[in-house]
Amino acid sequence: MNGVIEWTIFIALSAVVVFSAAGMILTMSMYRAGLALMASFVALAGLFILLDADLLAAIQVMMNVGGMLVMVLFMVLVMTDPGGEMMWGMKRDMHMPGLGAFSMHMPRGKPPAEEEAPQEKMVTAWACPMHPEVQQDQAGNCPKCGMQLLSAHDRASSQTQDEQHMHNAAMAVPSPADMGGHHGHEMSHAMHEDDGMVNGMSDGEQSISPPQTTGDHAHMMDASGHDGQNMDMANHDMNMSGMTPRQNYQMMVDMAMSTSQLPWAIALGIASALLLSVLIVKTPWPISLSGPTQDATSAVGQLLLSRYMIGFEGAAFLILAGIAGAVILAKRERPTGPQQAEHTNAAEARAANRTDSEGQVYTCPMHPEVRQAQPGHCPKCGMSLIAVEHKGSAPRQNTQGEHA
Amino acid sequence: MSGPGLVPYLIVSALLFGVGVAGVLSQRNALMVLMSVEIILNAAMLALVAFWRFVKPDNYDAQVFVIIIVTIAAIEMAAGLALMLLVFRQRGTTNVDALKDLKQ
Repeated sequence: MNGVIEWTIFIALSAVVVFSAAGMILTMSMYRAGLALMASFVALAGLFILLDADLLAAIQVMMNVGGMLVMVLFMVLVMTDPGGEMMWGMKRDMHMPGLGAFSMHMPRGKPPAEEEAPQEKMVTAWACPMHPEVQQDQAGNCPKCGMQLLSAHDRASSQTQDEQHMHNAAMAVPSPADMGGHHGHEMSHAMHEDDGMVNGMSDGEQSISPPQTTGDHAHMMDASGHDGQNMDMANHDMNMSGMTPRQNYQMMVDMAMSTSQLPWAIALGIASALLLSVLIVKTPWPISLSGPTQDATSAVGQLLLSRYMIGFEGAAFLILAGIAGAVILAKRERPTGPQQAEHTNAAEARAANRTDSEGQVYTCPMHPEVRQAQPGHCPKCGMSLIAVEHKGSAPRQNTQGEHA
Repeated sequence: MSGPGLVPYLIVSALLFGVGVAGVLSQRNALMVLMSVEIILNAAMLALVAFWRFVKPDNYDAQVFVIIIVTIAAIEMAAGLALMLLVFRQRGTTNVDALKDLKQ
């Protein structure tokens, strides 16, 4: 084969092999990771063909791509896979820099405190309407201007129309609890509005603390982001308005595919690859100039059947053992039929008992003072008792007969 | 000009190995760790095939060895996936951080 063509194919296939493998560990979705791994496998099969190992290329495609990868994708389907289009949309809207543009790793630092504590403080704090830096626990007068201090409630009610409007907009941001996949578009839309709002508040409205709405959290988060507390560089830009730092942290943890040590792991991988490359280049390999002489497929088949029979049979036995172990391990313990039926019957019986004892009282139509829990006959006149509601006033017909 | 020799293939193999190491060290999900191990195995296979092609092209033992590696990798993946499925059913997660109590 012409050398230039061979080099071109080699470089292209190598790029696919290495970069799709790197994409596998950097993506946010396990499904995408499986697809990237498949691309890496297929390109590696191409490299095998380039190395005159056609049989191995076929085996690579059949075993790795056809077998293992289907298993991986099935596994991803079974598990809950954080990722997909929603994540990409969120990342696009958050303008995440650096490695964060590809991957979502665990936030560094300790989780921020629960949001209850700062909220309490904001509510109970008394502040001067003119000097927001004056804050104290009880009511009184401002030491600077002598004005009466206002509580957070008073400040909230004295808001201007404009701010009310903006806080209504802030309230429209969905809470992280209902952050389902179908909310992706609405959320990204709301996030855009919210960004502008937070900036406006932090620039121009330092004088008045916002009331206890989601805008409150946004303000707090803005401040904490500027302080750099508990937020590293990647996290800072990922602060979503409308979420407390705690919720933001929790969302980051839920979405993360890799640990916070991802940069170190990447550095270590690059270092090991460089070390190996240096060793490879420095070593004088005894390179043979001849090519493969025989037909590879028949030669490998002969070897497998003669010299490596035991090894291959052992591998096949290991496959069987692995599959059998997988089936045994994966066998699910579920309640058997009769037990389940018993359980249901018991539940029904309990429900019926409760209805009888609490919901229904039987009384005589002629003697309303006769009341008892079981149906029967009136001890005074012998008439059969009828059912009434436990606390109801009007006696009603016994519906037990209709049910039975 | 001849095509790429032994060293370029080995360098690609080294790069692939580094990617796999980074994946094994950084991933949270045990399934992703398994997939990264597959990448490391692929790097080993590529190195083996390159050595066969450029050092001992008339001895096909290396190819048989690669076939056995593929087989072992498939077994490892099957057993690992079964374990992960079991862990996922019992605990609802396959994060390796959540499995710390296995050592007790």
